Amino acid sequence: MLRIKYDDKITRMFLIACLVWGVLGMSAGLWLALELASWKFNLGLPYISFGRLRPLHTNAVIFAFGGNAIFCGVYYSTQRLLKARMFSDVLSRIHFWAWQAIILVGGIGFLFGITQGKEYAELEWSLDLVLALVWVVFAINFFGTVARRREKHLYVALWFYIGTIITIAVLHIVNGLAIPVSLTKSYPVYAGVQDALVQWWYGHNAVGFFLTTPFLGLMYYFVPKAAERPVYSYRLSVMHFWALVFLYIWAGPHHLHYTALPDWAQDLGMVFSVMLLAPSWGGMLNGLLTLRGAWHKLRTDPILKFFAASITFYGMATFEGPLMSIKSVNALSHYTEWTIGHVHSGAIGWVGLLVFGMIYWLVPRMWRTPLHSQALANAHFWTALVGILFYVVSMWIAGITQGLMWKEFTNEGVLAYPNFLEIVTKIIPLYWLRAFGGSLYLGGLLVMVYNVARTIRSAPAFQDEEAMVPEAPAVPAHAAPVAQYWHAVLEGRPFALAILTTVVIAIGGIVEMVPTFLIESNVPTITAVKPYTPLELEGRDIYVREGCYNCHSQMVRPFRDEVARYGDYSKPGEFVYDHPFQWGSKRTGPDLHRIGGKYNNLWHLRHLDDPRLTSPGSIMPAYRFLLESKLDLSLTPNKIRVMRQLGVPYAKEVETECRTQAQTQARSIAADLEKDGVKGMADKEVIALIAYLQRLGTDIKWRETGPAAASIQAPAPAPAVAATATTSTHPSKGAGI
Amino acid sequence: MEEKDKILETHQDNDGIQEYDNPLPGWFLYLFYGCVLFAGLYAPYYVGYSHAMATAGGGGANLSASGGDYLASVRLEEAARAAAPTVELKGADLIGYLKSPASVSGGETVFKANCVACHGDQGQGVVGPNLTDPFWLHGGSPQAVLASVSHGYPDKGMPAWKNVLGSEKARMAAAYVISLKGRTVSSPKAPQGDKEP
Repeated sequence: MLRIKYDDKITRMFLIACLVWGVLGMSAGLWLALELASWKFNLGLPYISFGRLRPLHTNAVIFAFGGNAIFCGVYYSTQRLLKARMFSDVLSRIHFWAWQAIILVGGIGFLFGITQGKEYAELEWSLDLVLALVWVVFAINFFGTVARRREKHLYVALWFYIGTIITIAVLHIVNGLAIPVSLTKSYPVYAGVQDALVQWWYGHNAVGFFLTTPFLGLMYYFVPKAAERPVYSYRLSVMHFWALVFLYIWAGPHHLHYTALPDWAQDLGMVFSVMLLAPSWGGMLNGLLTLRGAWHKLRTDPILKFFAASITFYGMATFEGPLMSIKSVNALSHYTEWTIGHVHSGAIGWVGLLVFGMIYWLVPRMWRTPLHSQALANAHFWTALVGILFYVVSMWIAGITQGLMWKEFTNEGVLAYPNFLEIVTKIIPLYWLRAFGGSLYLGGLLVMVYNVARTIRSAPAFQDEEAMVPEAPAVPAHAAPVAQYWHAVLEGRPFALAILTTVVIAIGGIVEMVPTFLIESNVPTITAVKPYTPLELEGRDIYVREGCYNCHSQMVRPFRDEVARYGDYSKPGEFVYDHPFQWGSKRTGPDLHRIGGKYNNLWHLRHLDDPRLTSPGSIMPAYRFLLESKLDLSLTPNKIRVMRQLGVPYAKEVETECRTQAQTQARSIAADLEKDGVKGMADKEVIALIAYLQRLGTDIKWRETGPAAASIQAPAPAPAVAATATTSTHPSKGAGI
Repeated sequence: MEEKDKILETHQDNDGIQEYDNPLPGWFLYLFYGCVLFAGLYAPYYVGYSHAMATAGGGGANLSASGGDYLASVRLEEAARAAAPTVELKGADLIGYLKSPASVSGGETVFKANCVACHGDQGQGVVGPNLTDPFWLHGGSPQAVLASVSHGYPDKGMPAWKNVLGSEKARMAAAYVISLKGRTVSSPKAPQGDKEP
């Protein structure tokens, strides 16, 4: 036997980082909740306007709070499961500090509008590159430890860690491919439909492989530890691991139901999401049933309370997810607050509570001191639980209200709520309730931070934990009873396991992406669709910078209500020059794909100056600073050059003439505004944004001749009163079924 | 019948974590098989269905994105509207309607909710033209005002309100606009269009 020391310092570092970022990320979330309840919380500051602050919140809670929690648990459990100190202390430190630096720099960048404009992948190319390298460091450190292990077979938690490390690398690299314009600006190599498919393949699997598989791994380690019970079923863990990693990767297109993504890809996304229910529940069962025989401990032990509630939320969220991915449910739920409620029951229910339970379990062991107060830990649990319920229930009600009101028609055949704002203002009380729930949740976290800080203060001097381990890996288990299962062979061969995992996760992505990229009929060409003018391109970059996609979609789905409200439904060929696509995933405000030409330039200017001037009751932040800041055209030639490299058919001379072209177009818009009495706008950023907005959705002539325009104007224009309407126009009859 | 809660015998230690060798619960397996069966049936059915709808609509390539559903819903709606009995207002009936105090007061509500953002709270004009002066871009007669409100001038930013509000509310809004003519307002917008008596 050999006496070794585990590296516990790194676990403690990640644990503290997790708490610090948790407080910051959730505070940003609470502030965003308040900004929706009252626009005044935007404080007139560009840096914390909703569109810039939301990426900070999502990235901070997913990659900073969640990421540090993963690393904390992985570094702790991997060493003990493999009976080996981490491969390299230096790599561990590089991993830690580089990860915190990326988050810090990236987070500050978001406040300044440095973003790629793709949800949960907002980091610009330069930080993306560093992130990829750090992930490789983590992988080397992890697999190096695996190679030096003193335990032949890998426990189920480690399979999940391996699946996470491989898949996140693949997702991050494929989705992050971009051509730089400058250090802080790039355009993704994909456009429109393809970009949407890649982005949501990434986006959904960020949920799958950053917020699910690593936490299932942590569950498999910490729940049996805390409950002091055996894991319910080994066979179930084998089945649900492979089914989960295989099925998850296909599910991305359910974020794009009824969009311009080809139908077959949507259908695949839906059926794989439905099938995902079973393996997800396999994880829930194995977690909850492991608690059999320990239920009585829940009365006194806050850790098991956190774990039991966390796994229950996992089961609820993974039932709700497949439900929402059914196309006819999605027709109602998509773009609404329901989605926000759903992700938070996963994020603050499943992930958050699991992390809290794990930290309460780790802190006394890592600092060799009993927890300062069990009562405060119990109080934290109940505060968090009530907070989640307020959050999720208010978002359910808000989401279903939105969905139904958007779709409601009167008996005369017109929208019952044609004014979008009427629906926005209806759910503001629910925004306040959500903010209340969120503040409870954050309050609970602050109690925990206090509790942990008090515990650490009374801790003795730090020592790494020592363990007696065998000098060489245990003998291969060929003769052992475990060999009755084929899977045991794989558990003894981690690199084979890793390669098999790679193959399994690659299949779904390849089947969905390759045809979408290669077969032309999936994105039929529309000859009328032309590249943006240089000024419009600059305006689009402002749209991306300000994060407009966080509240506005650019995708009119082919439903009667959306065509009546916004205009002709969006065609795949209309987005071929959109690097990145900006379809959005949420309609806090109305869709903007057909906004071009709907209002005149003055309306847009006034609306951006203060949305309440044109739209009383609007909750949108004021963008007055766009009327004051000067439009910077210094990068325009570079941008055109990169676009040309990406295959956007600009003539060669546009590269040299783009500034003049932009200024000419800006002057003509400014001249139009001057007619209405607004002077001195020609060189301001707002002009570029107006140019972009006025261009949106106008390449095809839908207002005059589009099939949808013709059908919504039927019957003949003579004034007609529908004395009695005989048919129901309930949305379920009209759309989505 | 397999033995329940038998500890899996292995040579590994798993840091002290043991595993039972329990079988998968039956209901869970059936759930999984059921989901797979559903997927196997749904995908071919749905793909075939939407393809058939798109082909029937003659939309071809334009309808690759769920267009089939859209066409089906519009056709249902058109049939319903064609079947609905309608009452048309013409001539003196129309003028009477537009001048009636009930229409004007109903129209005021519609105007305040939908029109003030562009035409101002008193109709004095902001983004859109002043509605209280004798100058008109598209005619100031009751019929012309009704036509402007109903069908709009989408190129200039004036929506076709009949499609948004329905003809009843659009007519009431027109009635209110007609009643605004000659009203004295603070800070009126400069005249646009031709003077009409």
